[in-house]
Amino acid sequence: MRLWKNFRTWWRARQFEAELAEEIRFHRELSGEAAFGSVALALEESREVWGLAWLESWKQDVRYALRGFRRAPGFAAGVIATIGLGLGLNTTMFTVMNAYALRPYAVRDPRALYTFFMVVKNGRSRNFTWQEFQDLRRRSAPFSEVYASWGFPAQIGGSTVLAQAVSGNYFGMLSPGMAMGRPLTPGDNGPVMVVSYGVWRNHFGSDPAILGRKVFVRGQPFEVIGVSGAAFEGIDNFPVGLWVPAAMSPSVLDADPFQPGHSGNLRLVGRLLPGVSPKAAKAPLLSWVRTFEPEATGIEMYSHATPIPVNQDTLLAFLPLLVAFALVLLIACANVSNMMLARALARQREIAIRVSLGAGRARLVRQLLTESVLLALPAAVAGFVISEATIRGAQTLLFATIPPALGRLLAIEDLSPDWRVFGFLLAVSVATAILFGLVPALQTTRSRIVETNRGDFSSDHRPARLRNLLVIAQVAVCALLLISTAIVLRGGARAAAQPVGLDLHGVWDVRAIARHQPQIFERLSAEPGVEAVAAAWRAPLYGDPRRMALTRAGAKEWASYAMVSPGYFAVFRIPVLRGRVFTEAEADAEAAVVLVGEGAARRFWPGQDAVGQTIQIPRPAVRPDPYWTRLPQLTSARVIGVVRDVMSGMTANLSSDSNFVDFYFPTHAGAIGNDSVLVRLRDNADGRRRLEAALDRIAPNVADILAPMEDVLAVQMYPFRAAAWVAEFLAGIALLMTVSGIYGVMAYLVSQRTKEIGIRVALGASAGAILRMVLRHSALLAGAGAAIGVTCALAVAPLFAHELAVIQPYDWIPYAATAAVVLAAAITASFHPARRAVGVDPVRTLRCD
Amino acid sequence: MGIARPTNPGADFLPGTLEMLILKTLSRGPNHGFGIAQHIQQVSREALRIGEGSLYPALQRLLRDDCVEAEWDVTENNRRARYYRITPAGRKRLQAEKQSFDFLLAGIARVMEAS
Repeated sequence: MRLWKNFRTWWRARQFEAELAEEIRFHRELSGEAAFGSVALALEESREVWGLAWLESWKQDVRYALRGFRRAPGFAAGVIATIGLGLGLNTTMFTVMNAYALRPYAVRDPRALYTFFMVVKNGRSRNFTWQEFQDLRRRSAPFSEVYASWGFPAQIGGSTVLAQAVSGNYFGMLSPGMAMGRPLTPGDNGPVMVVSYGVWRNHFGSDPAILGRKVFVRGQPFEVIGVSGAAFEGIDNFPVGLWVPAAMSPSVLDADPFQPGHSGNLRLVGRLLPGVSPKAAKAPLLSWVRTFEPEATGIEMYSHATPIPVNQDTLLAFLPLLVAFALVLLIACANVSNMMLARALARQREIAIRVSLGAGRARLVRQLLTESVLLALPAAVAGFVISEATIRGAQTLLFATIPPALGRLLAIEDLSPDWRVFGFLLAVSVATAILFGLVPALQTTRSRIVETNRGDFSSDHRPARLRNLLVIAQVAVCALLLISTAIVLRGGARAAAQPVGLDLHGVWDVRAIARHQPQIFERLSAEPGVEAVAAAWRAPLYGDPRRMALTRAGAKEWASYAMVSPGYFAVFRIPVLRGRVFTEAEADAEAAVVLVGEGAARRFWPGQDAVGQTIQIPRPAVRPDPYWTRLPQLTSARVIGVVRDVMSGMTANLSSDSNFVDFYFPTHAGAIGNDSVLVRLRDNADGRRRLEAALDRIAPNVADILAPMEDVLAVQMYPFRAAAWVAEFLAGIALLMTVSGIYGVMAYLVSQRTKEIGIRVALGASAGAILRMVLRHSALLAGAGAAIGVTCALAVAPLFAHELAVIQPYDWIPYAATAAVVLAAAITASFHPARRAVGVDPVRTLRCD
Repeated sequence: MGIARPTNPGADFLPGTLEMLILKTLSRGPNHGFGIAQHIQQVSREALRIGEGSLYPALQRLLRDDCVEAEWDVTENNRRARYYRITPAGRKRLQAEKQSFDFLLAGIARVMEAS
């Protein structure tokens, strides 16, 4: 209120003064006496009441600063561009973070939404069954309401979307708004569905007559009754494309989840009662869970307000990226700080005189900081423009390069800026201004009355030391970024260089629910142009192969395994080294035979022939969750063949042991629990369309996913490519800024030392000696910076050492290469100033002054 | 406290005393700056004279603190003048200041009368 009145007075400062003057004139006329008290003083004190005096001096600072910029437009433009670039990159980063972690979903009261699951013995987690969900709904705490959902992939219009079977209260609880038609309600138990706005637009061409249309989901017809609002795509990590009633799940899921005894994999999301914290909600939930799951040890709970919950884990995951971006901004600040220092030094005379005339230091610092802020605000505008351009460019690049299999499932959040982004930009730009402005301001306003009175304005060497430190810091940060980039690049190269061993060209992964698999298998086997078909539990390259315990000589031993039909080895062209593959009869019977990888054969039976050996499979102590683990129903199996080891897991895990499948057990297309039908086409041209046509003859959209295996591998490699791009981009900018920073410092240094160089030349120093002197200085700075950068990189290396095998932070090549690049850059940057130093004419320099 | 005929009474007033006097004056009815100074001078029998240098800043402070309102009006002699009017907040402040002033005065008196 008070502030507002102040503002109003500032706004009408002229009127304020006029009125006050009139009042005092009136007073004087009436009193008719000679001057009684000072009018000026009265005015001055009245102004002070409203803070007008402060405003006045601030206006002066602004005017003064603007005049200065007009005189040195190159300096102002340089600062604005440099800071703008740093701000722009960080704003880009923040915009992405905002979209995924800060901006809540457009649903009712998103902050109260929490998902949760229980942790049982051995740290395994488990979701809920339908019966448990019903039980929880009858309770009144800690949630006011809870919805349940199963997610499953489904094909619509030739591409895969995430579908959800949801309990009837889903739309009522979230109230996301509809673009058309009506949402699902608790009364909907039939084959009806709501499609998302995105699916409606992309797959149905925004068909205005979509309501009432029959669309097949997993081969079952559903009637479209609504289109969700544009802003709503569910509240899960992947955008949801369609919703069907939970009651319909038996017709689209493998097992009937309403049967008691069904393991259930229901994802529950609840709305906490007002005033109940997630921490406080855990205790009642745990005691509820213990009523039916005595082994439960805890409850995990995550906010569902934003796509990525903000907690310690996600912050840690984002930290390297945040730090890298912040470091670029820091370099930009160092550069600008240097430019300001150089400028301030040139103004040393002016400032020194003002100090000796009695200007307060605080006042001078304020004036210099005003200059910084005035430069930072246009830089913020530039940064905003740069960030918008970067985001647009990055999105284009992403969609142009991402493997289609991943692109279809990718959730691109709306990346338009909102008030958080603008707030961030403003706060960071002001912080930046203080960061790059404060050091030079404090440095140049140190009062040095003695020197000033002597008329000496240039003999202060502390700025030089400070500038050296800034450059060293810059080089260090740049080196750190270069090292990280090189490590990521080499990691990606290492992963790409992995021999995969699987022949992926022309191989497609067809995924569908179990009941459709036999038909798909048969249909594709009969299709012309199909070379081989296989059923598999755990298609390769989707993650580490599953592991199980075996007994050998009484001791337990872990081995990875998969279940495949005989065609698997033909589909991927995996050579059989010894023995034979399963027969159809063995596969159909899931007989007690097994194929072994060559590495495992050597490991289990060193120096012996593996064929003919027997493995013993112990009964597991605890019944494993069938959703995750599928053990062969055998107590022992005879090895009938040895096959070549092939990369079946994650290429990033290099280490061969976890990536190879040790044992292949037989299975067949009719077995429950297989996840893929793999098919090799003789000629891959037009493969997708041909496969779709064949599958549609079974039922429309009968398969969930149709993915070329080459894409599956590309998806694994994509994070490395993307990380490498970001790293290269950042390191490139850092290098550019560092080069310009070194150039600036050396150029300034040479001009400051002109007199000294002149004397040296006059005393007979050769051109080479002068050149060496300048280059040595810059090489020293770069060397010190590189050493610090390498030390920092080695200091953080342990954090990354155990994350991924391909990322090897102790690889010496990135360090050596970085040191070389940084030194070369420093010498290149200082070459021009060095040439100028050589060209110093001693006669002219010694005469001036 | 003000001493007879000081050149700059403001400097000798205890902090807040001038505002209290202004508020007291205005509690009798709206007045302009000169009228306020006039009234204080007359009632104090010339003991307190207030110059523009302290009167107008004090009035601005009171305006800022919402203790008075100002409005331009015409005097009996048809001159334009800014009239100040006490607000409820001003009355409350007058009350408070008067109390603490009485307390202070009593304290001073006790010290002075102690032998």
